[in-house]
Amino acid sequence: MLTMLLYLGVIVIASAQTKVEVLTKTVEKNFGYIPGNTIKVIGESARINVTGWDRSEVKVVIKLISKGLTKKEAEVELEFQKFLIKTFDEEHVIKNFLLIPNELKELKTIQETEIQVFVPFQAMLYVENQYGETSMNNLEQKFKVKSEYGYIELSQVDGDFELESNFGDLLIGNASGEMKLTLHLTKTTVDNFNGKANIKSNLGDVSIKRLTTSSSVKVNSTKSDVRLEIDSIDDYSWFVKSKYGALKAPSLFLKYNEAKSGVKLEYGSAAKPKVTVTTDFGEIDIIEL
Amino acid sequence: MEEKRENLKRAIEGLKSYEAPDVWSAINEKLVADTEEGKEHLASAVDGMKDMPAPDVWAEISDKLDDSHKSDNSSNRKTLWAVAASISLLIAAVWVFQQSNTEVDLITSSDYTTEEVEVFEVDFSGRGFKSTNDGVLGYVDKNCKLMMTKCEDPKFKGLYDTYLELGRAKEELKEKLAETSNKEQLYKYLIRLEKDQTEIGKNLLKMIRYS
Repeated sequence: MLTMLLYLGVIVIASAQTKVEVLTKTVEKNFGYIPGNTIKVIGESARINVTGWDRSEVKVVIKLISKGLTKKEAEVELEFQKFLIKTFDEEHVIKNFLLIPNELKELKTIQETEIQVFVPFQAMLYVENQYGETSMNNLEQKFKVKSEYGYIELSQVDGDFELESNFGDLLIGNASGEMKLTLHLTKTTVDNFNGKANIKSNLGDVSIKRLTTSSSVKVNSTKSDVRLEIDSIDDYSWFVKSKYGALKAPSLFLKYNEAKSGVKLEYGSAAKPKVTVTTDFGEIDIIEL
Repeated sequence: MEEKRENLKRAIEGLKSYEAPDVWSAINEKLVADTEEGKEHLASAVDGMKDMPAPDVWAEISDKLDDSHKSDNSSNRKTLWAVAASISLLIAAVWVFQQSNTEVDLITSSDYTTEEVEVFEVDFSGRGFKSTNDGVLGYVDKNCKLMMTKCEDPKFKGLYDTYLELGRAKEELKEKLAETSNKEQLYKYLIRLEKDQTEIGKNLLKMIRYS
């Protein structure tokens, strides 16, 4: 069953310097999810939010926003924003893009896009966003996220997920399951994780807080600092190696450490969850709370 | 010898009654029956093939058979094989022509996608921002050409200049890295510069995205 609701709203917002007419065009579409299909969300300079819910259908809400000095300008240039919500074979595709006429030399307005998608918990997901913001929450399935020049936030996620980020910020809160992160020039914070994490980072710092005692973590970084906050180092077995970087760690660790730069140590029972951290030109900071 | 030549001549005369041109006509008719605008070229090519040298070849063969001094049985056989091979090649050519027509259709559908991209990637010049492969500068470049007022903001300009300055410093440092013996320290400094530039780049993108 498909429903489409389209409406326009014109709001005037004021700031200290200037008044801007904000025109928002909202598109809603509901459709049934076919188990096994992938929901693909492709954004271009968009704010994307994907939220899981306990229904078997997918709901998409796209807001096309145009901010101009006059209502007329906002209206005209809003038409440059395009979107697609369509099912191809085994994929439900949701996509936005900007189509600017060739003869136009200068946009007089600011164009923004917001894409909100509600998906069944069991749905498979693929989300890609360039120059935008991506947030995903309340998900319990297998998914993949790819971001370039953007900000990503995941919260309340449980499952098997993979994430690639190039140039951006990543925040993961309250996550569990099996997580694979491939990061470049991305500052990453993982807060409260339970599961198995495999993190590769290049030129981006990684911070992990509130790691549960049953979690195992592997961080392989180059030119990145790694910071770990844990309750007790005795909860894990450790393999730590730093080349051209320093190690800051509890005294129990440091007695294994002969030099501040160029460290390699192993500590703890092999029966315990393993934490492996290797860095090349990066500092390792392990904090026992 | 004379008797053999006569036999062969009769055989060749028999071959003359082979209605090869009708075969080509049949192919042509079929093509015309299935006609589409794009196949007109093919039909006219087949028309041309009706005038292919087959009848002349038959006449030539016959003449050569009359000239007992210039031809013998084996050379006639060779000629026959050559004619048969020519026909095979022409059939193959028609088939290849049909195949390449199909590919042309595919390319036409690809062009549609390319046009969309060209419309989106508008080239605006003379706005003072250099085109670049750098993802941050590329995005800033494109958007500042479209939204000049945002980019004329002093804070934005300051960040933009710092971003470029750090880029230049990185390049200088890379050159020094090749010359110096204390690479470890310089390399750490280079990483610091890279990270600082990245943070400034993120701020530039935020300013462009959200006013």
